[in-house]
Amino acid sequence: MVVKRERLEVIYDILKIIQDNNNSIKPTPLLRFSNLSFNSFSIYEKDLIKKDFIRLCEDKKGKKYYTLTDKGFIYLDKYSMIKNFISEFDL
Amino acid sequence: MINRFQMGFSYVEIFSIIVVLLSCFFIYFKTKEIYDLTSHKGIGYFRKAFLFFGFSAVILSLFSFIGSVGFEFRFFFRFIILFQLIGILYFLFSLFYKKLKYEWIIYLFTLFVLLSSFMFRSKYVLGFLVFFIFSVVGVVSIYNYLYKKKSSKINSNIYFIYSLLFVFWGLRFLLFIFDLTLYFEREFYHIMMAVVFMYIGFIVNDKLTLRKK
Repeated sequence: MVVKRERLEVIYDILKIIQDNNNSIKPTPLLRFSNLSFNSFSIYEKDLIKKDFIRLCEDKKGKKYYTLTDKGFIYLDKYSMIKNFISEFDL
Repeated sequence: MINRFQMGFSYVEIFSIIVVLLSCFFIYFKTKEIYDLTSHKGIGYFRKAFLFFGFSAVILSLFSFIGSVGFEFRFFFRFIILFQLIGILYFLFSLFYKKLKYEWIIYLFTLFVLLSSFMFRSKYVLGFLVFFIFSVVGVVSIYNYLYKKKSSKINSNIYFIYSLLFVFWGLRFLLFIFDLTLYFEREFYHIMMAVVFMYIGFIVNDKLTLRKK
């Protein structure tokens, strides 16, 4: 049975993909690696930009790519701690 | 039997109330960062629960410092209970936020309890309504402790602590309703609360401290 990922886990996966790609990845590969539908990905993408976890930048050729912000790195650092906390208090 | 309002606060009680107050606000502020990062509803409700427990401890500590146990204390005692009630409802929401979606129910229920207590001018109405909620949370905690321990879904004894807290809190309400408050019981209650809240604060601190790998 396929277990649906929790919201926090999806966010972690997206941020980790960006980090693992030298903190720079284009939208199409990010969508593909994140294993999300286009609609779900769009919702997460907007949410992450709004929360200042990722930034959508443009290079000199006008191609778009995502990078992590400091807050995004902090989230990645603290993810396992947050998961521990949630499971400890059964939240 | 001595009426609870005729008794002042002992040093042990004052110290215990301060410990509860500090523990509640410690938990609230310590979880701020992870809530800001995640906007996790469960964490949000959990924080609010301790914020309201903290508010009730603030009022209680003010009166314990002033040493007033007269009319004003009787009046404000209602608000102490109401803050505890809001806290406990938020706590319930933190466990079942996926099923309980409407936060306004907490305030509606509290308003209902407050209005009932003013309308009927009886401590039994307030006492039994709050006792009912405490019982529900107590039963949920005990059930989760027994069930989740068996199925090994969680590896902590946090539900044991919750069960202890809510069952004891609920029992104390029963004593309060029937005016069976004794000096010893009050001191024991405050010490117990201080230990439990401090322990929860300790777990929060332990879980939210980054360890170097």
